[in-house]
Amino acid sequence: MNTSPQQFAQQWHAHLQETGNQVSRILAETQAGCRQMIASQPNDTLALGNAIQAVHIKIQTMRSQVGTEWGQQVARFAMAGQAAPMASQLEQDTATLLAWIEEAWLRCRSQCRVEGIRAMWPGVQQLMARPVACVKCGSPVQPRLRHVSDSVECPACRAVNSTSPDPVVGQYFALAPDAWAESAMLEKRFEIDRFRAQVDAQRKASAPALAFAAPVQITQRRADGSEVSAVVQGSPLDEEPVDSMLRWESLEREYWRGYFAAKATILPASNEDQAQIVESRMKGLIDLSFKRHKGWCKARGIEGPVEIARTPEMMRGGDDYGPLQPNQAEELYYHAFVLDDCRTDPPKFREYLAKFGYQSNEQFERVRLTFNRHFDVTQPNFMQMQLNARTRASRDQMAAKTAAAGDLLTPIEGVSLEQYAAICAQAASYPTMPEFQKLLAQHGLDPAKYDRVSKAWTDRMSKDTSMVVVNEYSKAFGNAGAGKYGAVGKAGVAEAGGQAAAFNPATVSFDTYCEIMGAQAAWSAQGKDVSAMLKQVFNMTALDYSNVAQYWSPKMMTDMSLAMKMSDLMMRAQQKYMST
Amino acid sequence: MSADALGRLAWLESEIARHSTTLLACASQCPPGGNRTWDQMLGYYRVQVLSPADRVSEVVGRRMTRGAVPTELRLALESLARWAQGELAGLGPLLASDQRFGFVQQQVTHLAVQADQYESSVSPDLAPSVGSIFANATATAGKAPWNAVKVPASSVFVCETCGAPQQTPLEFTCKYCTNPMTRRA
Repeated sequence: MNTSPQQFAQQWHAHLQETGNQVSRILAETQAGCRQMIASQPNDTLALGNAIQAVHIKIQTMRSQVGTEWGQQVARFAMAGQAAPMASQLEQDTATLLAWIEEAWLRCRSQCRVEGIRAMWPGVQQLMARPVACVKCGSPVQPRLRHVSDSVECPACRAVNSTSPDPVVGQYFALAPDAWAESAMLEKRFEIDRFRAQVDAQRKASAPALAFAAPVQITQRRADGSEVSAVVQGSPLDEEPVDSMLRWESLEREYWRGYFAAKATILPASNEDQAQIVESRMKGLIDLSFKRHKGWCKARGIEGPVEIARTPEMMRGGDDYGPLQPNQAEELYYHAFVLDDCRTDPPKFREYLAKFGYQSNEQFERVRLTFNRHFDVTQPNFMQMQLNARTRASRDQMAAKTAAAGDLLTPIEGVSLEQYAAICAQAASYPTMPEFQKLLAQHGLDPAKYDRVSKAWTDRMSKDTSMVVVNEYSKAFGNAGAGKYGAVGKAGVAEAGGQAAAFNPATVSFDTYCEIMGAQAAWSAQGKDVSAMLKQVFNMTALDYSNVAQYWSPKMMTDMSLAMKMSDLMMRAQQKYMST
Repeated sequence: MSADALGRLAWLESEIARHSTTLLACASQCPPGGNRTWDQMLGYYRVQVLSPADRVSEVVGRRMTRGAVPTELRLALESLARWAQGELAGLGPLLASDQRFGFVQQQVTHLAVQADQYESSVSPDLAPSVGSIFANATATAGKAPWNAVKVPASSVFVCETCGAPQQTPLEFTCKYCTNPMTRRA
């Protein structure tokens, strides 16, 4: 450690400067590359999207490298028993650079996307105005809608014609609304991000170096082998001022209102629909952040979060196993996961507390402390036990949400979610139009109705913050058993539901699954099309991969040994495919 | 399961972490190709230092701007792994069924991955250039499976029995032969 503080600061600033220059070069090259691609192939949205995504990964990798390097420098000084020179100033400079990279890249990305959709528009208009002839008699037919499928009766021969938008028109209307809305509201998003960064920095500056939200017991081993322990009082951080929370809420609402209003200029949506989707976006944020804030809850007239009822007295008190036996540690973890997950929903918290047999929040905390005091966390199966409890809690919570889903799962135009998912699974094998029409007819649909139903189910999924619709859709998709790995997907759904399923892992081993994941990460980073490469290298479609993932993904969540192997296998595969 | 064996396993776990962290930190902080501290480190792990010519060749070949050559780091980590495997072999009969034993085995396997990660961190050529990203995107997007699917502007659904066209939207009983136009799912 021979570097002087001034030298270190200079070197670090030079490094930041070089990184900033490198990002500027990448952005300039990206803009040039996008313009060239748009000019030569204005309708190839897939290639443009893949390229933009790969640059996004490249930029995010550079950002995380700067963060990691800063951490290493701080650690290097710490290992030498020193504090990094000018640490707070350099840390702030590093944060400023990272924020600049993020904003500059998002502006560049948004501009490229908007240029792409603008370039498509003249062609899209032409395609939408193109005359359509009846397949049976050649007379002109007039579809009412040109951006989605329609059913039109031929005025001459009365045959029903299913008209479909040109794929380019379909792609335009799939991408343009969000690209336009994102661009329209980008500066508002930055305003919110800067505001939050400022609030976080202020709170961090005023926080003590070491604080505990609740009392903790600290134990120290003396040189003679004896132990001394003490309870350290909890000193939770001061809450963010309520005005600041209300401002944040208001900014977020403005952002989402503006976003969906901008989106509706391309794909019209009623005011009611817009209001609903704005509220669904807000609900996710409110549940995650705002309902944890006591002052905000009070200002909004709702009951505040249930706090962890731990006190120093309780920590010194006697044992209390409550409704449990001393050998029921896994059950305790299960209770803890369920209860901790619903602290921002006090009525539900009390309902579960009573259901599990606790007299009060305080008693639950005493029981938790009792287990913490006596349970040997070095027991071999400790981690697996926690994983089992977590899996069971998540499964039960989802089952409870599904049971209370109400209208969320009501069929749309007579098409149930299971039926819709089964059609999607069958359609994922790229059928021809006559094959697709036949598939739809078997379910009583034509392409026009399918488009309406599909949009309605997709909207419902997007508004559903409980994730019930997505979860049920995913199960039904796997259960459809479509494609060459259909049986694997079905086995996965059964396993995730806690039922034993017959499946020979030799069909697609865990190692192969990890290799495919690593390969996909490498292809995305290189700008290669993942579906095309999946077919070329593994002879698989996206449907096949989805089925394989349906089996191994939940398996990994419940088996510690697989979870431990995964990241290494994936990393090695990623390296292998990055170098090819 | 003896407490001694468990204690030894915990010690081994922390030693592997300590040695690998030290090796990686030392390797990544030296100038391209290494320095005297790195040579001493290799000696400690009983790794034969590459010849100067080989070092230069690797540094130039990988266009490295910093750090010891990956080949030497890999050899040092392999030496660490061999030692750790030997220790684990001694503990195996006592602890093989213990989950923590599996964790430490995994930690040893992970040393090879750490070598890979180091290699990519000091070899910037693995990260694709913007130019190659655009070239890859253009070359592969056209091969996406759905590109082969043709969507006609209009199509007519016909009865599977008699071939008559559908006459009323969403009506799947044939008006001509009165049979279902297709079998229901």
